[in-house]
Amino acid sequence: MPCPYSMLNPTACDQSMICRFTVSQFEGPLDLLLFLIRKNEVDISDIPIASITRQYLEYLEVTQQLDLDDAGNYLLMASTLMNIKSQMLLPTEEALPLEEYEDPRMDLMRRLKAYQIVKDVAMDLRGLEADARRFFARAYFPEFSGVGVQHVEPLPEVSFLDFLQAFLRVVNQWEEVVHHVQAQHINLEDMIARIVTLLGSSEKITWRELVTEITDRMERILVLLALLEMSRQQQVALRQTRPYGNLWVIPSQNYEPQRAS
Amino acid sequence: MNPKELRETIEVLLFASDTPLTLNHMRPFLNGVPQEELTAAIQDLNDEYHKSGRSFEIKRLAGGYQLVTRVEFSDLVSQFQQHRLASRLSTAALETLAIIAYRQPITRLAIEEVRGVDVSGVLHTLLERRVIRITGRDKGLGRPLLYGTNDEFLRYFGLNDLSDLPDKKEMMELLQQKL
Repeated sequence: MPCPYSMLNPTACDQSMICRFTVSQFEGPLDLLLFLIRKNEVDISDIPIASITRQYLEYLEVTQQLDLDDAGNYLLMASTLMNIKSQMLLPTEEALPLEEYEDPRMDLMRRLKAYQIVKDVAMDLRGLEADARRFFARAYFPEFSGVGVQHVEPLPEVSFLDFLQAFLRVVNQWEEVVHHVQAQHINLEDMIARIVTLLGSSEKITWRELVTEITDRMERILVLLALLEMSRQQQVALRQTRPYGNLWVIPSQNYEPQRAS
Repeated sequence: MNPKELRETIEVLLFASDTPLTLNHMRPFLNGVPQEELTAAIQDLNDEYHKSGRSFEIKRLAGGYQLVTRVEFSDLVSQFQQHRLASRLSTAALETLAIIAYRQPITRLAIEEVRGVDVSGVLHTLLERRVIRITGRDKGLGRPLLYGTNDEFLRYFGLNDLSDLPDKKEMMELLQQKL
């Protein structure tokens, strides 16, 4: 017995009677429906819905390997077909006037007609494509650079997509930034001790004097932190004669608060 | 500018260009030659090429003019230029393009309503091949992207402008309907 679906596509059936169908043979459920309509030689405006639905479902059964993305679209159409079929079977309670009766197939018919036209236009485009592939325009020769001709790279049109791709390329190239962290050889307590030594017996010392010898940035910051800590502990007083002026570090024992006169 | 100079100027511009040249592109080099003279000169040049049996001609493409090889040499040139020949568009791509071309600007959803399948992958391919572009966003819910054809669409199909597309009045009407 020949494969019952050999009529769908004879080349899909080999002698071992194993049907090899893929949904990709059709561009979608509408394409499949149009194929069935053509095969049954029926009018698109008067589709025998019961028989077309049966064939449609048979086809889905044969094409076991439904692509998952596609499957949804094909199954949605199957349910649409069955819905139309059931609507046509239901008796209307009262006979509607003819002009109020809407054929449940109407919507599907419109979609099929629209899709048929799209297919026709796609065929026209295929023809135009073939024609256009038969002539060649002059190409841009980047190696061309005549004497006295300023060579300017052409600026191609850039679309949003190009921009996005360029952005993604950059993002993917981002390497992890490596920070070099050096171990500090001196901590806050040591720095305070050092400042205390420096202050020694002197009456006062300026901030600038404290940091001139220090080149390392972290150490300079440490001096500042040490002074703040010392100030908090009231070991030193920090005074300034004017805004942005020199900062005086005065050991507390030498500091006499100005009394209000 | 005498007629000979005019023809030479047009020819050299077309020869040196790798994209279709519009009349506006040429105008700055033509000292105010009126448009009718310009198009007549282009026609003369083309006649000259045909009469003297050149292997190329001037073709109207994407709203401009371009020097292209004559169709008779298509086999030879396509062998020679094989590496430059882009692959043909798939059926899915052509159907999607057909909808976009006749109903632009259009959203992805509207295309899918007509084709009955998902078209996001196809749209991506078409965008990459520059035959379509994103023209903006719809005012509707979610402000979806709108797609339209590009100059490359015209060039790819050898058209001068969109009115060169096959006349499909019924196509427009059917597509306008709410499906």
